[in-house]
Amino acid sequence: MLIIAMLAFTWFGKDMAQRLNLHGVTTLLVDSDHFTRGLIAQMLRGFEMDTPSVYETGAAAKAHLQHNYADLCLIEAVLPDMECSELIRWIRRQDKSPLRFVPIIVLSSYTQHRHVLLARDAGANLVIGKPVSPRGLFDRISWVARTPRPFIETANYAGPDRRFRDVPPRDGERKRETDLTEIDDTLPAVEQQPQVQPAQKKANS
Amino acid sequence: MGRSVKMVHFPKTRLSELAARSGGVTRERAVEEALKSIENLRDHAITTIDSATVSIEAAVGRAQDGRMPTDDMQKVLRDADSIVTMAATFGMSALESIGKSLCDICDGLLARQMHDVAPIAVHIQAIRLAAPGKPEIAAAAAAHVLGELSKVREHYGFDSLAQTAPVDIGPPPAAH
Repeated sequence: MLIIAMLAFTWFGKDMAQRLNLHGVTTLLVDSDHFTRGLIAQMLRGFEMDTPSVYETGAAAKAHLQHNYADLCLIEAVLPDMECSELIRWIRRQDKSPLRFVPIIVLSSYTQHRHVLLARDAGANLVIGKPVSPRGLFDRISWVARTPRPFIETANYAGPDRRFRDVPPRDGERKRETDLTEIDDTLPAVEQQPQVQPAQKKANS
Repeated sequence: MGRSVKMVHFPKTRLSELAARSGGVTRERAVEEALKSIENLRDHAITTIDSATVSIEAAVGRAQDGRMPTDDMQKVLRDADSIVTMAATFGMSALESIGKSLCDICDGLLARQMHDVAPIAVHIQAIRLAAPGKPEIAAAAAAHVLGELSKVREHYGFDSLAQTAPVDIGPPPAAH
């Protein structure tokens, strides 16, 4: 009896780990291409997600976000009125609002590849090249939902930790300079959590 | 002397909380349902590819003395990009490759402020050959067409946009 219970518990746990409940997740989709908007909306429907709020321009998306919350943002790399990096920076600088932590996935078409580094450095969680496949999109949504990442905030950058691998910088290499900002000591104290290097983490554990 | 400040938060997003609820959908089921949903858009994609092709042909037709204005060139780039996305979504590989080649050419011409219409005209003829609804182009013939188109890009010395940056930025494939 105990073995059956253990097997059932194991199966149930595995099934739960493979499932994703996206019902009720509100999505903001910003893309200038009518076909892509329809395509992504259909994929989200297949994932049992609610109908996304769909916009063509960055300005319209900003106006929406000033009065509404989104659980997930899907943004094209280059919008008709601005680069996605501008919209992402605006979202990441929403002080005191949980909106600034919202997962952002950038969709980059063939001619927009050179903008993906800008998107990352503006605070995007992930960048996906178009055409977006259902499997690719589901895996990315699943990953951002299940993989907690520290949120870094400096004068020059606000967004998820851009490192995907938990390894320290190689000897002699400096960390990304844009993460660090020189400030005047006379400014009021700012909350600062001690940084633990991955190498230290391993040593501590 | 200043000091470096870095704030680190560990936020719990609403997406994570909602996704962790019981119930929901498995990966296989979600992908299967999404594929069914997007298949409904195939006809729409074919119509849109045709509209984009007509739009590029019109821009080529407007060119005078073999020169295309910058605005038209930018529109051709957007239309070609759209063709690439739709062709790739529905597995039209020859059309996708030709569309990418046209994107490379337009992007290169715009970057160097050149206005030559001839390479665009050649590409639009190739797009018509591989357009949906036409008899499927044989693999050898498609390879030959693409080979000839790549010579056009080589003639101008343009890089392929595929080499400009990594397509995806995200977790390693093993993380999925």
